[in-house]
Amino acid sequence: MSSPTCCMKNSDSFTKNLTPSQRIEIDACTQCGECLDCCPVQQVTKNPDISPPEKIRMFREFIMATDSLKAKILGAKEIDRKLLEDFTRAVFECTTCGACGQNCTVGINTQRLWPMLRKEMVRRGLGPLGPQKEMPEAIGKTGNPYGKPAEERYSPWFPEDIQVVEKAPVAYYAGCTGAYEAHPMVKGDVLVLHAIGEPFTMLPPEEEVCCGFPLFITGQHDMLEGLVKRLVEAYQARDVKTLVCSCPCCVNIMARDWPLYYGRELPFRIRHITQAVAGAFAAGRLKIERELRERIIYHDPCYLSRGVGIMEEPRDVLKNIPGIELLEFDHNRLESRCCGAGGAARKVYHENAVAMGRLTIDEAVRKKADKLILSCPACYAKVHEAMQDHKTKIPIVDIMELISGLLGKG
Amino acid sequence: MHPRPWILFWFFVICCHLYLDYSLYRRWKGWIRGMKTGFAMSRLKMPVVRIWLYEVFLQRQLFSLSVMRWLIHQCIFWGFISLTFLSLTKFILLLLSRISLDAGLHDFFSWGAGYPFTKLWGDFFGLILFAGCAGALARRFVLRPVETAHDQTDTFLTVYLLLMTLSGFMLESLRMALSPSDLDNYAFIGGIFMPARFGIVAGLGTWHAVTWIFHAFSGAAILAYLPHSKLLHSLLAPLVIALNAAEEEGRKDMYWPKTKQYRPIR
Repeated sequence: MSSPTCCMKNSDSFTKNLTPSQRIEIDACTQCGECLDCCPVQQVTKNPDISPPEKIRMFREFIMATDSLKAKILGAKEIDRKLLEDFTRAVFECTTCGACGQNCTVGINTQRLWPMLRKEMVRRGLGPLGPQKEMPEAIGKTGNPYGKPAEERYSPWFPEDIQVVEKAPVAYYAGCTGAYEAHPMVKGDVLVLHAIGEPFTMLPPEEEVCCGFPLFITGQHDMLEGLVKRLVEAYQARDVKTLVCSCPCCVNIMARDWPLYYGRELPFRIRHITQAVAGAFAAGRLKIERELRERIIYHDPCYLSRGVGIMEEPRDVLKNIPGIELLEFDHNRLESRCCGAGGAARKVYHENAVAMGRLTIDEAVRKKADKLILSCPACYAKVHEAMQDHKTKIPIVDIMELISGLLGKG
Repeated sequence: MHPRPWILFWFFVICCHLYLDYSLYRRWKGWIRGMKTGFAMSRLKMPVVRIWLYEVFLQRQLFSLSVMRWLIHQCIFWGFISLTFLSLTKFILLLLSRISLDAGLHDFFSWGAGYPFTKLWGDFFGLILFAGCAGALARRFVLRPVETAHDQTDTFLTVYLLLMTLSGFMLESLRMALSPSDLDNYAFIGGIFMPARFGIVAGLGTWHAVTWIFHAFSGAAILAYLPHSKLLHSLLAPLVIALNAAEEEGRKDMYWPKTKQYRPIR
């Protein structure tokens, strides 16, 4: 768990976890409200008290109450705990999809800011919420946030006829959500990587621990450095030069934050599976002969599109399927709408996540798609869940699940 | 013309400026109290500079969100910047002329061949600022777009800028009425506000002094109001854009600067 907070006063400074540029961002917000229209949580809750500008306004008031000149002269004001709890709920209800930052007129990088505000509330003992609290202990004991045994990480889905090598320039990281919650997705990844024909390595299940994203996103950063160093050194020992992963959240933290926690540049490059597969198609190492006369619609995961800018490769991969008609959501690529699975909010605000997932399903059905294609294990698990007891149904398929199915015989 | 309270004005300007400096210093102290992060000047490479120029001067993000809002904001931005630039230039030239270092530019722009240029610049950008403020108010109270979230201070600031611009035009027209010149035609907006048009023919000196006091003091008061108003974003937004772009450049994300593509116009 995070640092002890039992003795912290509500008047303690609120800025210890923010970088100078994030402090400037908080002052720069003009409360223009342009972000309200694109916020998926606003779309389903209609609650302005948890909107992005309101969260920034509240946090700014906390800073003023504790760090302003008046606070220095007259003493910092003790902030009402109820207000702090309300703020904590608001900041944890967010899916951290980053759509608000994408639309921000003053350029605030909210996908980076919200986790830091969460970290501050964790430091004060107000967060995380509900099941999120169990994640550090679960990761400490089992290596994954679900608390599931390491021996079950690969065994339920890993194809028996595929061998991974001990050392190779390419490694595949399955990720916890894929390995435990989205088996067809990770199985598809391995089948496609095998079909490319290049040998690849994987860490043994007890060594492939959490990438740290669930801890990062819920503001529980204490274990991050240890996890990152452990994983980087394990891959380095296997002479890895390219680490391939299909989970956008893992890819995001690997590409953006691992170097920070590792303390220097990573000894290998990070690639999303669609980048590797699109490259294989382009190089002629992979070819799909079977025709698929279907209308499919691809949903951009927030941490893949807005997070690291991977938007065209998944489409390039899908365009390699003969006969396919690729549809687009109204909000696609950098504008994509969160499916509800982001930011670990789904673990606490389940109804919001289901409502957002159903909006995604409904739009796919409205556009007369035969299949909804996803490229994220969290989206995969949540959208499947959202479809239960929902009047609208559509086959939900992971992108590599689809490709691996078409690569097979017959 | 009545004498103007220059001493009081300069005292007021100095007080407001000191207050602005102190407020910004306080904020700076607050900002640097955050987690320490390194900033290498080497990150200020071409993609960063390009994004900064696009976002700060052309406000591409706003353009993609709403063309009307972009137009209004551009009017206010360029009007405000250009008038501030004009005032600052005139002030600096005045100071330099006192120590004979202005190379004659003060006289050139104040009553020489450069005078029409000064008038055209002031009236044109005054008109732009006025149009921007009027547009912002019309959008807020007549068109009422759904996403607009604002409080009373927004309206106060917009009306404040609108009145400052109007008082600037009135001041110019009163000066033209009190001391006509052949070059007055260049003040194409000031001519519209000539007092005679409104039936004011007497007491022009008093009108001029009162208008000058309003215009000059409200202009100086902006300095003190800036750190507490949304005008602060005029300083902070360019800073945020530069810092975030430089951070991305340093991090070398997979697709930087492609991740800074903005959405198409709707």
